[in-house]
Amino acid sequence: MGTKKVASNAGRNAQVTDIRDPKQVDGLSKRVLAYARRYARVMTWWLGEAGGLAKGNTIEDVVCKAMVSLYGPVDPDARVRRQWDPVKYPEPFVYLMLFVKTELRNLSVSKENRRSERDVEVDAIFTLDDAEALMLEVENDAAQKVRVNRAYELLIEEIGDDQQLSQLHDEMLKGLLKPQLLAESLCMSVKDVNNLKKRMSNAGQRALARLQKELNHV
Amino acid sequence: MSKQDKDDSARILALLLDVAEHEQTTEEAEAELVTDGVNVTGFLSRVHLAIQAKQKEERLSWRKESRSNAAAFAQTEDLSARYADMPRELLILEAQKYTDSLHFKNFDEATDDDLRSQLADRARLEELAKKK
Repeated sequence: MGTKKVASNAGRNAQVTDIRDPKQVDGLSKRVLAYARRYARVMTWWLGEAGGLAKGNTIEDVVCKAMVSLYGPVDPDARVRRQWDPVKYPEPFVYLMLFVKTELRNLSVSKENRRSERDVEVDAIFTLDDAEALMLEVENDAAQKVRVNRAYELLIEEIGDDQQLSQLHDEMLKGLLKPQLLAESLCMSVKDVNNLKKRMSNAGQRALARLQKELNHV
Repeated sequence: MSKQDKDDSARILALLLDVAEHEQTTEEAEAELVTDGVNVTGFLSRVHLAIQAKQKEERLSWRKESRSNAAAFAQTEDLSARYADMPRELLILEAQKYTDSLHFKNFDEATDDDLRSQLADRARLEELAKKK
């Protein structure tokens, strides 16, 4: 019943999540929530580990809103109406990932999440189409830069002597993300690449957990 | 922050965000959430309630649209005067221009008043469409 997909390969697999099936909706919700939690952990939140993001939102709020947008527009009065377009994104999970990325990004740059408002006049509003480009835009706040760099140092420590992870790191740093391309570059199967990415994700989560511990002790 | 610093930080941030993205089954996601102490059952109940509320809202949205259309129509100018003094022959000729948009098809059986009100309403709808 549960479908097994990620953004990179979801479009090609024949089985697409059926949002009319409550069990598949459950599976989809769990996968999106897990992804949103990992993604949000990379960003800097003024409320830190308290579970809140900004503007009174939690990660669960964001995922809930994303799930609802599969069935109709959310924020219908907003400048940008958000609703799933099954033609553009046949696999709902791909759309939900973009929705979550955009929403988290908007919250992270909102006034409420800024330590200083000196250079912010209005809350930035990004749309789904900006999500990929936004990933490359780093917050210019000095404290956030320090945090990102420290997280990276810890990730490198977590990777340690693992040759495969080191190679994957090098390829990802070059911007190579698609499993097929990584498989070619690393001379391994796509399945092995996916497993390696899973290990890399675990290393990333451990690094972020260590970073949070360090910040809690400051 | 120099451009080089900014580029490096951007690459690092992109890498960290990319690392968060990997293939995951439902079971693996659930295990991850449980390990993190998330109340998965409570979260799923919330999702289903929110979806049900949205579906109900969508089902009833036609009423909202219908009310909004009626209100917009009421704001348009009454054009009955345009047809008030028109004789029956002209009314039928006029109606024949708009056979697709008029309710009555058999104009010979329609009364003059019916034809006048249909033509006036059609003209008002046309005005409304122009404004939109």
